[in-house]
Amino acid sequence: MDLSISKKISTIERDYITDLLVHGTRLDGRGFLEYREIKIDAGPMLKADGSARVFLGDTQACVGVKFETGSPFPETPNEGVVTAMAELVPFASPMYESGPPDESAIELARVVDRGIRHSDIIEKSRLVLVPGEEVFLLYVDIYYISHNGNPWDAASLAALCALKSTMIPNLENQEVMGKKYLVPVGDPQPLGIEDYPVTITFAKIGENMIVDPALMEELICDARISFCINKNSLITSMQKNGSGTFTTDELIKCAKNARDLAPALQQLAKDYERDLTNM
Amino acid sequence: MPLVPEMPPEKIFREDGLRLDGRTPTQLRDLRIEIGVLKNADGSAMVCHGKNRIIAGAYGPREVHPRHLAESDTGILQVQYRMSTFSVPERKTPAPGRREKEISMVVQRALEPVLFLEQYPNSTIDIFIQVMTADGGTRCASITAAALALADMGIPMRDLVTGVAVGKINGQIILDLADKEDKWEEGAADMPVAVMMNEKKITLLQLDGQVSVDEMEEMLNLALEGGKQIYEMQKEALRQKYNSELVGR
Repeated sequence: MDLSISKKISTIERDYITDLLVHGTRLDGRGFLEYREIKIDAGPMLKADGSARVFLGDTQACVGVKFETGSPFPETPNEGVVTAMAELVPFASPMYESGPPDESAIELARVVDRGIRHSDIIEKSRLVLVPGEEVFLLYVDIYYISHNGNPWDAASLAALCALKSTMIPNLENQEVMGKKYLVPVGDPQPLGIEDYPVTITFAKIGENMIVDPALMEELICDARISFCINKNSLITSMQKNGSGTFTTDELIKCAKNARDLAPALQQLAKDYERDLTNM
Repeated sequence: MPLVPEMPPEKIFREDGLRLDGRTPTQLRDLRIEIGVLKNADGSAMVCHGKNRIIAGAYGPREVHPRHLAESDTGILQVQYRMSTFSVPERKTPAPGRREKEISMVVQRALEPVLFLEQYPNSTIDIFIQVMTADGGTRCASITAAALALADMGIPMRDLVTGVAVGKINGQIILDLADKEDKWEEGAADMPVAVMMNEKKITLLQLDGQVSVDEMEEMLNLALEGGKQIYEMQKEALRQKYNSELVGR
């Protein structure tokens, strides 16, 4: 189970894709800075406190958010806890096997996690129930269900939409049947997010840099780089992977392109609302 | 301090005799089926049954990994049933539990009778089932979805398999239990059934609760009635997929 299964690609396919790029086109006819069609399924998972299913072409990522309550970390007593987990479901690709998350699943979760964390997406006090003692723990759980390239951007956008749609209740200490519990009072309220960080990934094939690599492009790329861009056009996290290299000029060019592509993705998340009418 | 656990409802039937979600005792929940929802699986289906939302994907027949599981005179069927962490009211840990392992096994046994596994020596057919939302009767809906994933894969099958639950609440026999009905404890029983509808052969049967033999007979008959409706919807969903494929050509 590995997202980088490059040895399975034939030289002919590799050369063909590389050649196309040299002539200015891509396998599926897209421009170098063009995303595949993005669709968001708004009504997927009713037991989650927030959720979204994002399609990036044939790539699909499902994210559900659940809250629990518990103790804060000792070093951040006045902040809630947000944790991201990712699982590559075996039906996403015939190359996956079942088992605990491997390094590519962990990397995916961490790329999403850092994007959220360094953007201060949730106001810190929003998740505090009793300072230093009791806080909300938010679990952002990613299920990558169809692998056709670029899980990072799909999962990040799904996580952002899921958080945007998350509702949490007001909790009060109450005694229920002789035991002390935290009891929801009134209707759940929107968690409310303050920023819209989105992840934008480029693959480098030969001398060319293309956004949103499709599966074949991802499998043959020399290297890739993901930028997380927030609403103020700041880069809030980066992740380089693959055994190839980038020059500084290439990186700056990609960063500028990421900055220009971000607002359109952010708008999708801003417009997102969960459909709670079951079907 | 822990969060207050979900409280059971005070009543399970409404004043007008209908169930909490407005159904009659013998009425199914809404059912929506989509075939071919995953690009890379050889066959796939999504079943939305009530609030249940389940995706099944199938691969094969293909080489067995690890090799020692292969059988030289027949193919094998491997099933993995998993609940997503956010599919239930309280977050489930990601690691599979005893319940998921048992359900994987009984679902495998429920599907094997429709396959010609002896045609695929040394090979495996793998089915992966992921529950995105659970609302009672997930093993039945999983079987309904998995059978469709197998059909979508295009391998020969004796029949589809249809999953349907029947149960009893306060002595009243009901079809297709929702989550709240499933958790009701007074005079209650829950009986998941899977059936090959053409020959009315039962491929899965479990029971949780107490029933008399007469009640069991009544429940089995009701399961067949409900199963028939689901079976028709399964076939219709397959027809739709192939119609649209032909039109697209």
